Amino acid sequence: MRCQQIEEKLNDYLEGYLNPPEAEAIEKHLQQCSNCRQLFLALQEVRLSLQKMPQITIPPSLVENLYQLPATQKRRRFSWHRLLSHPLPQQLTAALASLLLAISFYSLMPNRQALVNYLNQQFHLGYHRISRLVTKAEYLTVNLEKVGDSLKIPIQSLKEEKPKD
Amino acid sequence: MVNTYAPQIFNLAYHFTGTREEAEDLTQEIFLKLFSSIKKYKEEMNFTAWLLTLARNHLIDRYRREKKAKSMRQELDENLLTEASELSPENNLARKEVQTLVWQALDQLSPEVRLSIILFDILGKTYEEVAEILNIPVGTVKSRINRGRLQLARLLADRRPEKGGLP
Repeated sequence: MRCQQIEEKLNDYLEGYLNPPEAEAIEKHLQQCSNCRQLFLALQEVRLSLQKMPQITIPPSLVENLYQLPATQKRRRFSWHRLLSHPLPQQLTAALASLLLAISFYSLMPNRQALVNYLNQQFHLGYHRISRLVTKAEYLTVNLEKVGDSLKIPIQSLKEEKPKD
Repeated sequence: MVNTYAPQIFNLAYHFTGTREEAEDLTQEIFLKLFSSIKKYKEEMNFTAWLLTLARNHLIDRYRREKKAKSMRQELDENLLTEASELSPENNLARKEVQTLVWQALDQLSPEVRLSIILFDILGKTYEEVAEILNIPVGTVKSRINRGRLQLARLLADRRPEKGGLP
């Protein structure tokens, strides 16, 4: 076997995963090749060092912090920032802000009476237009009922009617 | 939950980053994620594997985000290293030296290979468990561990002045 093939199997050899003929081939190569032997020895040391690596004791202060995390999260859940960053409160806030702006604009306006008169005028004008539209609609409804029957043209007569030149 | 799983997460983060401070921050961040995404956990899942997958994703994300400003791995606290009673004081010292070199060399591994090595060799997970946590086939886990150990062995052989065997 070549050195590269040996390298690929060194871990399996170390873990005892190879079958006897493969293991024998590795051992034979390691006896002959000093580079692979050095690598194998280093690999053994690496494996042992990793497996003996210390497990660190978790600091008590960190454990205490971790126990407090759910409570911190609950507080965060009910914070104003989170509430205001929600889409619906954002829209309500915008509407409220617009209303406040309009009120402050009105209350600070020097010529307030003119604005009141203008709004009154516009309101009455609008009311008058709407009442005219309602009257027209009522008139049309009554008249349509009267002429309703005469509008019912038999389909047959429409089919027979030829287009004029 | 904290008592059972926090030491594992803390150790995973510590061996991955190499600093206690970062490990403490990461453990808190991972538990915050755990509390906010616990609804996604289903009963049929292996909880330890699910939590370690969450931790793995967070560690990798953090590594990718901060790799440019990455802090140096701290010195391994030699007081934590156990002495083997069958070895002489000199050989114990040599073994601690090797362990410190291996610890420092972990930073040379890619994050995915490093995580595989930490989970398998340091935290003692099986190939199958590592595969489940990293969401990769068992064959890939074996190949990553093989690659990582060989890389560490070469680094160790290069750094050591004398190329002897095990003490």
